[in-house]
Amino acid sequence: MLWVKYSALFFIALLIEFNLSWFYEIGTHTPDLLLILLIYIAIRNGKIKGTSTGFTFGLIEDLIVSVGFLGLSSFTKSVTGFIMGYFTKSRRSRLFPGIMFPTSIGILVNEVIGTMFRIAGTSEGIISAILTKAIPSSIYTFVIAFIIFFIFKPAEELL
Amino acid sequence: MTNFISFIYDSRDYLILFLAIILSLFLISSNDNSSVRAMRGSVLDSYRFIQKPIYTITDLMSVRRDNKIIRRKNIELSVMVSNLSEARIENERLRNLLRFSESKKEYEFVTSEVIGYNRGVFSNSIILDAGLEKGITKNTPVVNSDGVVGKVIETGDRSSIVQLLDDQNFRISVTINPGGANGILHGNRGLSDLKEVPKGLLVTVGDTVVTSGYSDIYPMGLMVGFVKSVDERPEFFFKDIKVEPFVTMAKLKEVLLLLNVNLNKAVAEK
Repeated sequence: MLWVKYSALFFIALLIEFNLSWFYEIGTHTPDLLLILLIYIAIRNGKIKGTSTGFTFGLIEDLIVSVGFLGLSSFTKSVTGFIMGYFTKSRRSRLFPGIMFPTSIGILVNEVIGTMFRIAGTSEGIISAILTKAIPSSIYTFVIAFIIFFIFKPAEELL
Repeated sequence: MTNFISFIYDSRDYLILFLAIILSLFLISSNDNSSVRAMRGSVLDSYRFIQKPIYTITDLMSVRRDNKIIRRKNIELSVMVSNLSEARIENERLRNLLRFSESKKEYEFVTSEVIGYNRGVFSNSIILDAGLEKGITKNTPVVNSDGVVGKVIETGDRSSIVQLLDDQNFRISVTINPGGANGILHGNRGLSDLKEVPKGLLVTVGDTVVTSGYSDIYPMGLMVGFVKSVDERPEFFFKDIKVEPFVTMAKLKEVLLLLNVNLNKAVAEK
């Protein structure tokens, strides 16, 4: 039943990202809603489920919209899901506002790894790409994650 | 043996991560593999069934706003029609003078609805409601009435993914008119970079950027954008040119796909 809820949330996040992104994009930056959901699932369910969920989410995202980097989202999200699994045992990290600390790490890891792959072979410098693209996107995703977790405050028994 | 099994069981989280990374790297390295592309086409077609009704709903939500824009556009177009008819006559006359009677392009157009967007810092693409069944293949040029939109990078039977002009990895060979300088346009959100234009060539703000025809994908003369700024730095051989695309990518609803583009003819003409 739990995974039915997760799947439903996944499809909702996917449809929002691909249909309403114009509504909430700031400049060139949009929050990664699938990543927020992945972080939540991984913190709740541990490294194994976090990694496999990250891989699945990333793969579906890759298959539907990736441009020239099929496999990159599955890679970054698998790593993020695995790292987030380390926070499962900490009760504080599972609840709001403690969950925002692992969330910030997860977002940053995902964006930085993705940026490093995407700029490979281009003339853009890694530091410049991280400062101008990865960090602003991470901040926006973090803010949206904060709002979501604040509104739906994760409780110990929720989901 | 028991120890080995117990080791595997204890390390299963790392093994799953290892497996996920290996599979991801395999996918990254086999982007053009035919099996991977076929799988992608099938997933895309399945997603279309979910995406299309949702898109219809969100599209209906914007009908009122669109209606207002269309009414205003209608007035603008009425004014433009009279101007265009004059321009058409002039165009016809020039064509005759220059003996370009056979320069009419033999394109076949396919119209398609945009049913999904993927807008990000690096990656910008749209999903179209048309695919292999309508003759669309990889690298089919995509345009609208304003100019170049992008190119098809993946196709399913009834859907396709289009890499947009403002995608970071998009490249297109262009000519700057009226000067005639050639360069390579690098996609970017906001203003695109026009590179490899030597300093000695004349380029001014407001010049029109069109496709050069030196490409396996785009015929010559398609509108791309206009020069927004031109800088020259002493340490570089080339100009630093920023181009604003004519097409507003965030507002795409319908696009045209050019089939059977006769590139050889276009290049020969040039």
